[in-house]
Amino acid sequence: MAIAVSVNPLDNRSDRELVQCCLQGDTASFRQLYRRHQQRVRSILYQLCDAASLDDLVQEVFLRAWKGLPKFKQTAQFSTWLYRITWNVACDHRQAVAQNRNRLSVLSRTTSSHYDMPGLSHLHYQDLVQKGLAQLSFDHRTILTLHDLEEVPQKEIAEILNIPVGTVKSRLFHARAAMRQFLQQQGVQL
Amino acid sequence: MTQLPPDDQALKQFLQQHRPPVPAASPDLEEQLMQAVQDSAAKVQTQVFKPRRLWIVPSAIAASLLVAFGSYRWAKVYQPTTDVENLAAFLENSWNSTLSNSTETETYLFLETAFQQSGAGVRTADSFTNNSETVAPTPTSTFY
Repeated sequence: MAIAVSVNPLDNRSDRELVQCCLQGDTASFRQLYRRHQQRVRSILYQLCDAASLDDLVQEVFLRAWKGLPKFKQTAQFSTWLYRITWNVACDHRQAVAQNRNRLSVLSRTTSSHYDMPGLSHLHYQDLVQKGLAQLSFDHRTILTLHDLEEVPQKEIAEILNIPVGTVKSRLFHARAAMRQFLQQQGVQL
Repeated sequence: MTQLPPDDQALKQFLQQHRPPVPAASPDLEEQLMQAVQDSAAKVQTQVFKPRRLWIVPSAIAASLLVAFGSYRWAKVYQPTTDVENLAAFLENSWNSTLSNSTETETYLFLETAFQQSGAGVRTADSFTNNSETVAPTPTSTFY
């Protein structure tokens, strides 16, 4: 059933203000939060899980966020809290299903094809990046996705994953080393 | 952000440049989500009153059981009216039969003994007179 809702595209209320409105039962404010953060949540989930259930996983993240809003401590950043939920959903998903080795083949089928050489190179490198991330451990993949791809600060990553900043740095070092080694083995010169 | 070593900077750049595109969401995903949110909000509102009603029921049951048990115990404590009546009748009958079968002297002696055995003391005077004293009871007797 479609719901007619007017959401001001120029709504520049802060996340904190939107959360306050949500706690009063204002679902339109929650829609605003969704639109603001859904792309990043989607991107993180895509790097950590398979694409087949991406929509379901995104929905799961935001449903958990809606239900957990009363417990959200207003002192923390909403985005940090939301990414924590995202990571939890990814962890749960990994435990629920087997690793999909055909994820890369699905990706190549859904990706639009280019016939010019630069395009093919780009596709090839995209494929390599995807394969490289897939061969990393979940912890290393998480760190590399959050830090290098999504550019989340290390301190925030530490809060999301509930680990010390030192551990973030250590994992990042090893994740980059593993990724670099893989790309070099595939003939990529950085 | 801290300056990255050249190798790490190059790697990061490569990853960002060639990261696979994220598949687009289905067009009705947002509406599906908002519908689920609306349903969740409605469910929470209907559940607000249930817990308040629910706890009353077991409390009422517990209170009823307590009252019933208390009444039962109370009744049991004060129940043996019949037993008391029977005992009183028995005592009276046995007393009367004892008195009717004994002489006046024997009756006096019996009374004296019973009195001593009750621990109330030893009468120093004749029970038939009004002048009487009571001394401390002797420890040798026990009245059942």
